[in-house]
Amino acid sequence: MRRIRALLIALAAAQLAAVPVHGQSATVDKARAARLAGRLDTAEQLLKGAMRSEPNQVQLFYNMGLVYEARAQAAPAGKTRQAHYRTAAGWLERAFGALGKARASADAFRIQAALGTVYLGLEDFPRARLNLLRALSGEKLLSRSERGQLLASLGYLYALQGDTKGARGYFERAAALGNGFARENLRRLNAAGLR
Amino acid sequence: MAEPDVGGFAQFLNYGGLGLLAILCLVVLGYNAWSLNGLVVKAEPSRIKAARPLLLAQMALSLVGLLAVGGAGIYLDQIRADDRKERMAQILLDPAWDSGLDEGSRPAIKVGGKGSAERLIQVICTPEKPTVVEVNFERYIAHRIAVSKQAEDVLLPISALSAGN
Repeated sequence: MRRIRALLIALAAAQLAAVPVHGQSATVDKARAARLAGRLDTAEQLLKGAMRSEPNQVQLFYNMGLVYEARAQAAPAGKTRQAHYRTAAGWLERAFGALGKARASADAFRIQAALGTVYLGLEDFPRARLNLLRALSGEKLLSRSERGQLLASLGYLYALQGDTKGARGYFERAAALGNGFARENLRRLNAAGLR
Repeated sequence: MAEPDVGGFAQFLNYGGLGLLAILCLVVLGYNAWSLNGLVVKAEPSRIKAARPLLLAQMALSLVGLLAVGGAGIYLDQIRADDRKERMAQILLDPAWDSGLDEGSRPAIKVGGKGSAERLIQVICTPEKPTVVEVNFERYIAHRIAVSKQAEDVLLPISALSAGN
C-alpha cells in the first residue's frame, strides 16, 4: 500500500513538473530554471535560440527581460548595472507591446510589475510609479511571491519619494506575504527612526 | 542618485574627468614652481630673466585651470540638484502620471530658474485650453528630498530584490 502510494505521488510530481508555468513552452521553462539557478548565459542562449520558432513571444521577451534584470542585480553598482537595467527595460517593453489587446491579463500585470522594478533600478521614478501602480490594480491575478515583490518595490519607491509612511504600509503588506527584502527594509526604517 | 542628463564633455567631467583635470593642473603648477625655484637657486640672472615670464604664464594658466575645474564641479552639482527637484516635482503631481494620457497631453512640469525664487513649479495643462498654475512647493520638496536621502542611505538597494519568478 505504501509502495503504491509513493508511486502515485511520484507520478503526480512528474506530471506537475512537466506542466509549463504561466502557459510557457518547455524551452522557456528551461530558461527560467537556468536563470533561477544563476546560469544566466545558458538562460539567454536558450531564449535567443527559441526566438524564431517560439509562438509565445510575450513569454520569451518577458523572460529575457528577467535575465537582464538578474544580470543587473549581480553587477556592481555603476555603468554596467545601468546598461543591464536598460536592456531589461527594452525586453520588458517589447513583451508588453507583444501582448496586443490582452492588457488586462495576468501576464500584463506581471510584466508591468517587472518593468516598475527595473525602472526603479534606473531611478526613473515616474515610469516606475506608473508601471507599479498599474500592476497593483491587477495584483489579485499574481502569485503570492509576485505580489510580495510588487508591494516591496512600491515600498521602496515611496521611501525614495520621501514618503516613509506610505513606504511602511507597502513594506508591511509585502512582509506579510513573506518578502524578505521588505521585512529587512522595514527593520532598517525602524532602526533609523524614520516614521 | 542618477547622473545628470548632460551631453558629451560634461559627461566626461562628471565621470572623473574633473579629477583628472585637477591633477593635471596641479602637476603643471608644481612643475613650474619647481622649475622657477631651481632656476632662482642655480641659474644665472640672465637665464632667470629669460625664463621667468614663460614659467609665470604657465603657473597662471594652471591656476586658471584649477579655478575652471572648481567652477565645473559647482555647475554639475547645480544640475544634479535641479534634476532631483524636477523628479520630486513630477512625482508629487500624481494624477498626471496615473492618468494614462499620452506624453503629449500630460501637463508639462518646469522647475523655476533664475528670478523665480517663489515660483518653484509651473504646471501648464494643454488638453483644451492652456492653463498655467504656479505653486510654491519649495520647503515641502526640500523636506521630501531630505527624507528621501535618509531612506536611500538606510535601505537595501532595489538590486537586492530578487528578479521575478
